[in-house]
Amino acid sequence: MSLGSDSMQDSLKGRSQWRAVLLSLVILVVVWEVLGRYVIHNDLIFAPLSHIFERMYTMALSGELWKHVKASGIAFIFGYTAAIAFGVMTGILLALKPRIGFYVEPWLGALYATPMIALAPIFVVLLGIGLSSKIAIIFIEAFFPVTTNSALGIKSTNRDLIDASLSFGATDAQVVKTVLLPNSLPFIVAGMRIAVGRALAGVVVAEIFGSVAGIGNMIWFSAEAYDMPKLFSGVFLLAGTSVALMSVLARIEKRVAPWRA
Amino acid sequence: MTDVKSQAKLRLSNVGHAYKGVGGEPLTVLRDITFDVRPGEFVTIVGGSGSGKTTLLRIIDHLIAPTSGAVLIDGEKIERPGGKLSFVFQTDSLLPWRNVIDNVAYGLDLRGVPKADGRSAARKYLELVGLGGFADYYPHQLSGGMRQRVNLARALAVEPDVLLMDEPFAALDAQTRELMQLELLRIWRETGKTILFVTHQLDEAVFLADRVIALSARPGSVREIVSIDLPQPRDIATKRTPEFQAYVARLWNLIESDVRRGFQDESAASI
Ligand SMILES: Nc1ncnc2c1ncn2[C@@H]1O[C@H](COP(=O)(O)OP(=O)(O)O)[C@@H](O)[C@H]1O
Ligand SMILES: [Mg+2]
Repeated sequence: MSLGSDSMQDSLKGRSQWRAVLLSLVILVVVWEVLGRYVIHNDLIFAPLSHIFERMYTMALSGELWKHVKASGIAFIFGYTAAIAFGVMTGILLALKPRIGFYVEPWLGALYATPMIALAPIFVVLLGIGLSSKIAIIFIEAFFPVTTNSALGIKSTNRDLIDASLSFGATDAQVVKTVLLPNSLPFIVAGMRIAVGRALAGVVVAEIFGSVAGIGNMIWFSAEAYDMPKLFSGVFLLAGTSVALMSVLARIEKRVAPWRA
Repeated sequence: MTDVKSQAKLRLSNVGHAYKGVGGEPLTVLRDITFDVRPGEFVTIVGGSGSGKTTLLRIIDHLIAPTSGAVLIDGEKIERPGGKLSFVFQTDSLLPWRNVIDNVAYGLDLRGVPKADGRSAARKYLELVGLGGFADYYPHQLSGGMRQRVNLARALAVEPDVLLMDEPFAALDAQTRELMQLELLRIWRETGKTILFVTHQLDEAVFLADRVIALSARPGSVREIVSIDLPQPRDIATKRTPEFQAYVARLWNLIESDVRRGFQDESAASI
């Protein structure tokens, strides 16, 4: 069987990829540290990694870091989860009811293409500074990729699979449950993955315009104060969260659709 | 009760079909198709590409309604797919997220058969097609020939009276196709199903069939029905006999002009 050699090649690829990531990380760390310590002596525009992590540590001890993480985290969880739930429902509905989709989809496409940073101030004016405007901004950022992908997952279903199901006497509901939904699952997970980046961008945007705490807020104020170690602490936290969530979702995507690899 | 015995399993009377064409004017693809299939009979349908073979099978399976005429099964009109008929599609239409055993049990799941019962029935048919050891594999881990066997097992698992097969071996290499033909004949003998099998390969049509229905080019109509009086059970040696080759030659003569015309149409269209 070709099974053995396939999976062997996969793990080989995976292993050497990990090695490449590790190696480039080591290089980055060394270069950054050397730059920060010996080349760029101006603390107002750059900081060596050791200072950044030192700062993160003291902020963590004082509880300041936790305050920001909590403020951003709560908004992210609510906004992102709601975007997934509503996005999946909307996307599936639009794909299953082409008549509605016909009217709605062009507008969704236009909104998807609109830079959300332009809409953020509107939400702040409408909902005031605070949690609800933050959630709204994060929601609107994450909603579109999930909706579009869910609809695509339904629409891209192979016609033959639907016919096979109908041929066995499946009802419409059974076709949806046993063919259309399983087919769209990997698309939905891919949409969730794309939405992570946009939702985190939403966190920063929302906190610049309408917040008194949170990672975005922390980044913004340390930039104004030229406090580079604090600024990079925020950036690293965001980047780390994004990478972690996206790689988990990429794994899930592979898991739910091994045939697409 | 000669009456019951002589009753057709499947009866098509004056079936015609027209699709909505590109410009809006109807595109007639089938005209006046009339024939009977006896219980337990193996009938093959040949015709050039575009002669409406797939359309005809889909009409018989009630996936689409004909624009004229009627299809009777055991003398009765049915309203929707899923009863006594099972379809084996041309392309492999297995659900990629179900493993082999769950694919075979799919039709039973849809009909509300309890999960455990469905799996044990599926296992029986998986063994019948010679894939008993592959229950836990996923379709993408199988070869094309194995996937078509699973398709066949899935169609058989719902215990239909009639199997409708749309060029199921067309995508297989020549050797695998020969083996699959032999397998199909064995399964037909063992199960006694009525089989209606579409192909564009004349030797395949002759080898499998009690009778071959030759369709004309579009719009497809019955050009001739040829009884194949070759002894059963047939094997590879059957294909070397002069009788076999005479049947193939006769079918070729029947449809040659249509095939050539279709070929010319297609080349003209592609210029
Ligand atoms: N859904 C459809 N709508 C319009 N035309 C179709 C459709 N399906 C098939 N046709 C046309 O009908 C003709 C017969 O198609 P088909 O039944 O697939 O033929 P065959 O299986 O013999 O190749 C072809 O010319 C094809 O283009
Ligand atoms: Mg066809």
